[in-house]
Amino acid sequence: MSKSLILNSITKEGVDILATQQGEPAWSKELRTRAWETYLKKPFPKESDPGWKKTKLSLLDFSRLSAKSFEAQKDKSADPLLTDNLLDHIAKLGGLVFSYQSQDSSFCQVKLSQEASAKGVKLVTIPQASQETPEILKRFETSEPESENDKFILMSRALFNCGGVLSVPDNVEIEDPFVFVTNLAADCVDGALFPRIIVSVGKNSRIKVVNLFTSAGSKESSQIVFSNALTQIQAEDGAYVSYVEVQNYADNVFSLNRQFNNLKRDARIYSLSVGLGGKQLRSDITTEMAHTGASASIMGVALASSGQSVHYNTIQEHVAPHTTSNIDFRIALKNHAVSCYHGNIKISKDAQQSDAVQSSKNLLLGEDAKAEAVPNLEILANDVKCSHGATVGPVDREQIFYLNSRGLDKTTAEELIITGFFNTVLATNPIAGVDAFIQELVAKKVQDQI
Amino acid sequence: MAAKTKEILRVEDLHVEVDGKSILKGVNLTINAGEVHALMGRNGSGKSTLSYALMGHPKYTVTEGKIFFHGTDITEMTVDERARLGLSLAFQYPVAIPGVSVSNFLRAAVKAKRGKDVPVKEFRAELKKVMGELGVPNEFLSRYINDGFSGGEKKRLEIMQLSMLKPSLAVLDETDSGLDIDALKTVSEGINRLITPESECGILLITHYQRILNYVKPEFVHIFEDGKIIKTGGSDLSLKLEEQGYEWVSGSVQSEAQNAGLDLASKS
Repeated sequence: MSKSLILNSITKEGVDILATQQGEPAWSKELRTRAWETYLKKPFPKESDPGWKKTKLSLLDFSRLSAKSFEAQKDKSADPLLTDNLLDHIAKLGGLVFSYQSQDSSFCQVKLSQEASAKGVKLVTIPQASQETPEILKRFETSEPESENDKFILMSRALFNCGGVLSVPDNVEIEDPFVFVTNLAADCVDGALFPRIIVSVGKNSRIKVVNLFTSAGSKESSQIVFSNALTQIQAEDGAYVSYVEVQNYADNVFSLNRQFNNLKRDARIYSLSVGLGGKQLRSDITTEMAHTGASASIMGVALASSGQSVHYNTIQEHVAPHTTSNIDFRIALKNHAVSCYHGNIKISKDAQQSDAVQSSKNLLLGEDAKAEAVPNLEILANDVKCSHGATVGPVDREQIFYLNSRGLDKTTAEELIITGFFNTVLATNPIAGVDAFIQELVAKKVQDQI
Repeated sequence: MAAKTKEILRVEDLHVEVDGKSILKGVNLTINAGEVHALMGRNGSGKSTLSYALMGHPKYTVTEGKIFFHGTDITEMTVDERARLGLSLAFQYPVAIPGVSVSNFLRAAVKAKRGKDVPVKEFRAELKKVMGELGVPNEFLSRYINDGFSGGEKKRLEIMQLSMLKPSLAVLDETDSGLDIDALKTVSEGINRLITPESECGILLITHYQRILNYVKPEFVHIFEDGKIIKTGGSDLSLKLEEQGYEWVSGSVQSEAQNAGLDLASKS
C-alpha cells in the first residue's frame, strides 16, 4: 500500500506492472497484453457517433489517468468504510466483495457466508481470481462478441483491477444477497478504476446479487475520476438471477458500465439499474436470450441533476425461440440535466414466438432538461410479439392540481409525483433488503435543490 | 342547535375565462355553515368550470368578480392555500397518479391540512373508521391513487379523502355519476357525515340528476345555464326539473329576475 503502486498512465507498461504487482500467472498477463494490443488498434468512439452523442468523452484525458493495482486483503474481515449504509439494510449476506480505492491505498476484501460456502459457492476478489478461479476468468475473457471490438471493453480486459468473481454450482438456492461494493474515496484524483464483476450461476440455481458503485466522503473535486466497469452474468439452464445495481458515485466520476447477461435454456434474470451519481453515467446493458425459454426483465431508473449526463443503451437480443424480454426504463431530469435512452430489440430469424417489450418514460423536471429516447428494432423472425413505447414530457399539470387541491404545496406535490414515477419500477425489485436503501437515496436526491 | 348564520362562501359576480373563452358570466352564490346547495344544469353549462374556478385551477382565469371564503378574499390565492383553509373539491374525473400509494398521499395531505404530523396510531384509527363507514377495503391503501380504479372506487376515494381532511366547504362535482344504487347510498352517507356541528361544513353538490338529492337533501337548488345561475328554489325545484326537463326552466326564467340565488341564500 504505497504510492509507488500508482501508474503514470494507461499504457502497456501499466498493464505489465498491474499484472506483476497483483501476482498474476503468465497466462493472465498474456491475456491482458493481448487485449491491450487489440485495444491500441481500435479507435475511440467519437461524440459525433450516433451511439455516443450524450456521452461526453471529451471529459476524459487518458494521458493523465492512472490505474492502481489492488491488494487482496484475504485474511482480514471485510469492514467496509461505507457512507451509504447499504449493509445496514441487509440483514444477512450471502457474501461480500469490497473494493476500495483512495489516493494512498487500494484493496479488495471478501467475505462469504457459511451457508454459501457449505453449498459450494465460490467468491473471490479480482486480485485473487487468476489463482483461485482461473477457468472462470478464461471462460469469460471473450464470451461476448464485443470483447474483441469495443474500445472500452478491451481497455477493461487489459486493466481490470478490482471487483470479484461469484461462482454458484448447480441446484443451489440462496436467499441472502451477494453484494459487490466498489468504493472510491473522494481524495482520488486522476484515478482510473476498472471494476470487473463476474457472476456464473449453475443449472436451476437461484441467487440474488447487489452491485453498488459509490464514493466515500462528499469532498468536492473537479478532477475527473474514470470508472470503467464490466459486469458479466451467465445463467445456466433453469437458473434465476436477481440483480440490482446502484450507481451513486460522487459528481466528479465519469462512470462507464458494461453489463452482459447471458441466459441459457429457461434461465431468467431480473435486473434493476439505479443511476443517481457521477458526472457522466453511461450504461450499456446487453441481454442475450441464448436458448429456448429464456426470459429477462431489465428495469432501470435514473435521476439526474444539473451538470449530469445520463446515457442508457439496452440491447435485448433474442437468439432462440420462445424467449421473452421486458425492458422498462424511467429517467427524470432536473434543471439542465440531459439524457439519452437507446433501446435495441434484436430478434434473429430462429427466434420465433419471441415476445419483446420495451418502454422508456422520461420526466423533465427542469425547463432546460433534455431527454431523448430512441428505439431501434431489428426483427428477422416473422412470428413474434414486439412492442415499444417512449414518452418524454414534464410533470402532468393535472396531477399537480389534484395534489394541490388536497393542500400539498407545489414542492411536496412534485416530490410525490417523481417518487411515484420511480416507484412503479422500484416496486418490482425482488431483493427486499435493498429496497429501503434505494428509496432513501432516491428521496434524498429528489429533495436536493440542485 | 341555534340557527346562527355563518357565511362560508360568497361568490360575487364571478366571470371566468378558459383559453380566452368566456365560460362563467356573473355567478353569485352564498353558502352558509351547514347548508347543502345543489347546482344543477345541462352538460356544458359551466358547472364544472365553477368548481375548478373555486378551487383555483391555473387554467381558469377570473376576469371579474371575487370569491370570499370565511370572509377572506381568496380570488388570488394558490390552490393549496385554499385547500389548507378548508376548501375541498371532489373531482368528477380524478386523475391517476401511478406510484403514489393512497396511504402515503393521505398522510401527506392530512399533515398539510392540519399543519402538523399526526401520530401513526391516531392516523390509522381515523382512517380505519372512515374506511369502515365507506365500505372501502384495506387494499385501497396500498394501491396507487386512482390507478386502475373503477368509476365507483374513484368516487369512494374522493369522499374518503374529504372525510379525512374535514373541509368547511366541500364542492362535489358529479360525485353521483357512474354509481350504482348501493354505492350511491354509501357515498351519500359519507357526504352527509361531512356536516357535523364542529365542521359546520357547507356542501355544494353539482349534479346532472335528481337521484342523489334523495339521499343528500339540499336546502337550495340552483339551476345553472350559460355560465350563471338562472333560477334558485327549494328542494322541490329539483323534482320539477326531473319531471319537466331543463327546457322548462329555460323558458320560465326568461322574465324572472336573475341570480335569485344570492337573495334566497342570504335570507335563510
